[in-house]
Amino acid sequence: MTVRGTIRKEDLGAGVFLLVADDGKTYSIVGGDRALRKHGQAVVVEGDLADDVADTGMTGAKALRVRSWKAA
Amino acid sequence: MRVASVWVVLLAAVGCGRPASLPPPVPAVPPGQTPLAIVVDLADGTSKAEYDALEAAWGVDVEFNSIEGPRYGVTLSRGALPADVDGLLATIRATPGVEAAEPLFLYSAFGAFEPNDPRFPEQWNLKMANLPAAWSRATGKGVVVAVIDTGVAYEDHGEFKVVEDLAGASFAKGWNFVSDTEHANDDQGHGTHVAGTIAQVTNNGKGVAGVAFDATIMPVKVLDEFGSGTSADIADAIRWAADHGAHVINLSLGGGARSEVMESAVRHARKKGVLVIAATGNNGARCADSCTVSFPAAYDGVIGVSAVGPDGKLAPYSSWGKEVDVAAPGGDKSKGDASGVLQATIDPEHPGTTVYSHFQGTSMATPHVAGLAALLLSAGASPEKAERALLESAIDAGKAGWDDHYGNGVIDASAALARVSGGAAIGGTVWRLGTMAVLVWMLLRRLRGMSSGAPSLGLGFAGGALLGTVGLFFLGWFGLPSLPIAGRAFSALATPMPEWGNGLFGGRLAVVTLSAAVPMALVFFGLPFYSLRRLLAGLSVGFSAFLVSAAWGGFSFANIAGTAWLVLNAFLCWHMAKEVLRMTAEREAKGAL
Repeated sequence: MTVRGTIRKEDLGAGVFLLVADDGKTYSIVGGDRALRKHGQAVVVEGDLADDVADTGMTGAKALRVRSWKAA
Repeated sequence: MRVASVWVVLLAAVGCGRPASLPPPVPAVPPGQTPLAIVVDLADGTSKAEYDALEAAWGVDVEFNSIEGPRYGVTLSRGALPADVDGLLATIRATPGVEAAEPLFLYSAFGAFEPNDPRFPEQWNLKMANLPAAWSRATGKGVVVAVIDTGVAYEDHGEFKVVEDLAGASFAKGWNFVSDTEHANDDQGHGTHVAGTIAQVTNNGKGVAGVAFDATIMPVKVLDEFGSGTSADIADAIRWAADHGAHVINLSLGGGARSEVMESAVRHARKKGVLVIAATGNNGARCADSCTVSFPAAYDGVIGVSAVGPDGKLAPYSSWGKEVDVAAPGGDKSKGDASGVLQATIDPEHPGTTVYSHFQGTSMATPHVAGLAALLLSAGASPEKAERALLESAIDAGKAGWDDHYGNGVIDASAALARVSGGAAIGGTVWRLGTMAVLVWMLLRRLRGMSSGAPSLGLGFAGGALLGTVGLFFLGWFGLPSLPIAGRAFSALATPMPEWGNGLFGGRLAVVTLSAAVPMALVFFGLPFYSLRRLLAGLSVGFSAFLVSAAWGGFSFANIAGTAWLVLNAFLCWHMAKEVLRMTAEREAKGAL
């Protein structure tokens, strides 16, 4: 699936990055790289929903496993 | 006349009963660290001029420890010690005229102490969990806590370096499930922070303190550099840790989906007697009327931990729900950075660099509970007893009784330890009861030799004696009520009275009850009531037995004054018990005439 949105950093633990989609849904980001994880960055992410993921964020957001991404 | 003699004892004790005359309580020195000082016992009568001549050869300045020094020759080193303390001790022991030389291992006699870690004062979280009052009873020694997380900065390996305030901590062999190697190094910063809350090196004059600083950390990496992992890896890690000697598993992680594989791994760990502690999640800001606890915290058999801020209120991020078992400090940085939990960790951009960071999250609350579990296990509790103690001793918060925000309440380490040790931390229960038997025998022997004779003792005497020596420990057998007031009262009665000062005041004031002051005050006011006399006599002799046991072998003081204090107060208590019984016997003899 393709998700357009903005990266948001939440102050939990060492810092947790979420993707807030333009449709308002929030995803926790799995995989990708450091460059993707910049607070406020507008991105288009190609990825798959994953339900076998646990993380330090525990924000309750669905996990999106990143296949590729680009700045929007 | 006879009453007057009791008063004389009372006044004598009040005169010397000032807690200020005691040495300040001092922290235990974790093994592997430089002792605070060394004690050199010189031949009795050694003069200052004589030992001053020896100092140059030793390279360390020693002075008489107290005004008794010139008589007994006990001296204490001043100033910094060399790195090789063992070598120095060997040199000193080999010197003619030296009877003994040993490192000063200081134990906190009276509960609370302040470790010398410079940023300990910023650790509001440790005080909230009542840890300073718990460290005299347990430090987690011998207990292995698996930190299943992003790894731990526990070793120098390639670009990875052990963080400065974990250097010298105890580590078990771990595993890295992300790259399938034995190097479970942290490339994110979360796991090291969590491990620090559990076992940061404490009282090392550096950084911060940890909850169970003598516990052994087993670093297990399942989360990648961005803090995510798969339920399959986490399940494997839980099994691996349980099969490789972990006693406690800390899971500061979670996800939204139930995993049969992970649930069965948890069952496996529990079957092996491993306590599994997990974070309830950080979904709180998105919860209105209902909230869900993440997995693994939501599985049966897992202790789910919600987070509170420095005000003791549920942190805004904390998830809540029916699987919350207990709450612990996790920080609330909406009130500023200092309201986070401070530990040493790595800078994720430069994994070889130590930083001290304030983090917040149920991730940070969880290791407080895992650390407490380690303390309880190291105090000798079974896993079941440890779990019950930490849940039942929690301070109720929110709605009365269990609720879905705080579970049983906010953890209280000191109260939890009191439940498992039954106050047996200082000396042993059997030892103290034995001491009491001897003291009662001496008491009766003395009384029989007097004109009054010995009175019958009865249940009142026995009850008072138990309360003074070991506490009404059997109350714990019936389970203690979890209501805040009744629970506290039961908990107090199950603890020997001389230890009440710990719970009431903590810190140095705890010494108030480690003296003859309490039984004296009670005798002062209770003596006119005839029916109370046996209880008062029993209580006095109980105190006496407790204090003798404490002086004999329960703990060490920094100097002889502490031991002398206990012995003197023990004697006063014993003498008072004897006087009260004598008066009772005489009164009864008169009544019989």
